[in-house]
Amino acid sequence: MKYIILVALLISAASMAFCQIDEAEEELAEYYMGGDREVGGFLHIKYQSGDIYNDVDGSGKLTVDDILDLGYFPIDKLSIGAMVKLGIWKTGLESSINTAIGPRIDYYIPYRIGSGYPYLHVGSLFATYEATDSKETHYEFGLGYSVPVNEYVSIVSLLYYSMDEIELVEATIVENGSRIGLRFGIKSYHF
Amino acid sequence: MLKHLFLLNLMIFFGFSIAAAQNMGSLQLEKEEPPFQKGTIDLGGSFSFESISGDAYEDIDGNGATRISFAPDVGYFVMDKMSVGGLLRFDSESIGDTSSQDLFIGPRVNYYLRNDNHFRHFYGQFSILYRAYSSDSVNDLSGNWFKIQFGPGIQSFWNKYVSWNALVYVSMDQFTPEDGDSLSGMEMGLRLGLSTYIF
Repeated sequence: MKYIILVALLISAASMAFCQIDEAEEELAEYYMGGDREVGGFLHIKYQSGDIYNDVDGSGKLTVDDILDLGYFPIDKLSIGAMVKLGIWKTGLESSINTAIGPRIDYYIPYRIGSGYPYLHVGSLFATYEATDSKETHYEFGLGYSVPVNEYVSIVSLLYYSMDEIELVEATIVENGSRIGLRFGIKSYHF
Repeated sequence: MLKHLFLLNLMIFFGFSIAAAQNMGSLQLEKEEPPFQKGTIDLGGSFSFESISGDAYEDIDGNGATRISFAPDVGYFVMDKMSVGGLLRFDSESIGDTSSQDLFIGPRVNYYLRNDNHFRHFYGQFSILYRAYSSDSVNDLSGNWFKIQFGPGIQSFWNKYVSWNALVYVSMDQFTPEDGDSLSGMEMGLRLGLSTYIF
């Protein structure tokens, strides 16, 4: 049932878009142009110590978290990008590294709805988790809505469906799962 | 391996900051208004909702999980150079009969040393955060937390509305478990991220 609803949503959005491309072509011309770059992300490094955080050895804890989301518009309205995630934590006794990387493509449909534009999203993510000795593969697609706040900033939302595979390497177990999600965030464009 | 990844991180982020700064030569001239004026809104944050299912995620009774994460960061310049805002982060996960909630909330004040068209600005931040954590399965974090954070930061604009910012902070933390004595701790950190402004 979930698959049917999502596919129906995507098909109906795409149909509307391609029937009325001409109407919004002019308005969209100022956003999402070939040669534009988009960027998002953060880096957070912290060291925690004291009774709350120390391990049994009395050592503090170092944590690094970062997400980097980069994109480039090779042609108008089409963004090709990649997401990189890195998580590190280290105490006196043990440490762990999580990494994830994957490509994504966003296509901005030249059909204005309200003050924003819908877009189609396809992406994947390949992750490894040292602590659990596991690997994850995610394939996601979805329908988004992007509202330009100004020429450099957009508020974006994305309704997505993801097919996931989790492999516990040592136990040689592979399990499958899926997720439906909704994300809201802010994207910045560097022209 | 750990050191290499750590250094790679720093290189990527500082590389972007330097690249952005190099692009500011022409943008300085285009800026007509200083960025930290009374009435400006600074905006950030995210929201996500996920419903997950399948062997990989379900519990032994076959229940899927629901995750919600809400982290807005909004500030308002009550006067030139001073932004007052709120920090809020809420994470929730539930699987069958078990659930956990993690809430951070508190005010923050940013004060910028100057308000002109220069692309790089120094500022100071002060915030008080309250954290409430509860979980049906992990009890050692359940209780009330207070964090007092402060530190200097630098913002590097790459266009009129977007800047990279870096904040070095110190946090003094106090944790009172639901059934125990108060514990204290300290956190030192570096945050790099993006800020956006609406005039």
